[in-house]
Amino acid sequence: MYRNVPTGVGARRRDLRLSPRDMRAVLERGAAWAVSRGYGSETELERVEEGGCLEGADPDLLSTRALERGRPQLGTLGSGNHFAELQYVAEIYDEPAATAFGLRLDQVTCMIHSGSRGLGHQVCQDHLRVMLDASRTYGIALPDRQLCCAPLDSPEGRRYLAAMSAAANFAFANRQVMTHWVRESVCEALQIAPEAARVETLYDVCHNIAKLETFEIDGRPERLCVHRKGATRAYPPGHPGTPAPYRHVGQPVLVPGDMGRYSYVLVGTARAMRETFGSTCHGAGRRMSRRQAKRAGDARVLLGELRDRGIHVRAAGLATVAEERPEAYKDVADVVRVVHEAGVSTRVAQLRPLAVIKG
Amino acid sequence: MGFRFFDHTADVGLEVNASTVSALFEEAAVALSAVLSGSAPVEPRERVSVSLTACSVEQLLVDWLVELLGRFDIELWLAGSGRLVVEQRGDRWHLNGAVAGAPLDPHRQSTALPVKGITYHRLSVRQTADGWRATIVLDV
Repeated sequence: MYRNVPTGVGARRRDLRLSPRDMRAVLERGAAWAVSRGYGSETELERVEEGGCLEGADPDLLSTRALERGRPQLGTLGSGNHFAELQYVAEIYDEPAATAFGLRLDQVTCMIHSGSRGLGHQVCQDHLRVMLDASRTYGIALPDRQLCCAPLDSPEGRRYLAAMSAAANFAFANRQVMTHWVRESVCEALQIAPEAARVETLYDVCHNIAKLETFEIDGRPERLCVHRKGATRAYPPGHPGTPAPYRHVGQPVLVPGDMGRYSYVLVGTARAMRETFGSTCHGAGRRMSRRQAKRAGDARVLLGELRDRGIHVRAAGLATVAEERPEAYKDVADVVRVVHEAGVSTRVAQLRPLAVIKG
Repeated sequence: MGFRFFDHTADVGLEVNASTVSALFEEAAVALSAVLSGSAPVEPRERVSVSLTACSVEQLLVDWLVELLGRFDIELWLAGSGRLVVEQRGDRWHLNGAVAGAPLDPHRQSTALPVKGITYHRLSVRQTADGWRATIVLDV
């Protein structure tokens, strides 16, 4: 997996090069572009939020620099808190939902955490500048300049949403390509055919994104812009946005923890639709700053300790390992308990790490 | 004079001090490279000319660091020492000059922190009794 999925700053595969035309197609079509190039199958797309493509994406709104940063980074994991992790199902809390998701005890799973890479960061950077001016134009008082904004129906607001949707499509394509390479890695390692390996997508869900979605407000359906920052989508059973195979139980929610403890699979609820615009937590959240985490101990010692517990970590840099040490994060079990008890998503399964690749 | 980091839960804070505003921008480039490369020295192998204009000195600093960040993301290019002239003409701020640097050598240098962007959170560039000071929070 570490060999097949480019990991860390500057890593890339030579067998995936994008022409400007390809880039345009990626930004317009998202995960469907990846499938059209043989990275996965059409049936997987129904298990991706929005089918792996946001409508209204406009590649023409991206700067040359955003495209330059993105082109070499499609099909790359990145670094920082991005990871790909082989895990096993350690606990099942909700049998019917787990069965619908195809999860059973001791089953091996893989979780990928990555996004729109430098392309998305540049889209953000480019539009911060626009939004600073827009905030002045529209008389918006800012408590912090990083919170600059514009009304959604203003030209600036509409352009940003269209550019961000293009970045989201890049992220869908990126994860689809890596998912395919993970599948190939499993087949290579076990020397089996893809049909025999049965490595299937459970779900691909976004986080840190703003999207237009429909909610019932005072008994009437309204189109709203939902910004899920540090949050992810948690649609209930029966919702048309919940993929058909899961519609009787609810949308799967993936909540990564840290590389030493566990991650969770939850399921969306009707209560989330009523109380949190169909949203729940995205992850554990940091407890220590990166500098504090680095000072907390030697990365080599940490790698040894994890290995002794059966967790094998391959990382492009030791600094990332130190910064991402398990105790740098809150215990995700505590975070999950809160959303479970609040009823905005409920526990289905706990996944424990076996092998982790990081940038 | 020089730079120091300060703690921020999810991001990295940077305080840069220099005797002149031009030197402040030169030092900020070195500081960014230190974040990206884990403080390993950067060889001044290639010179890159730069010319930027912005409506404020703070925006010019953001544009300058974004320019360098883009070069790192695309070519792994790290900035070292620079010769810059930063000045205000009318209501615009201008940066002109050249910076010397080299692509990161993965065999010799490890990347320390992936920097996603330069934020406006707590951003300030101001004149002090001894020169100039910039405060920048990097989105990592």
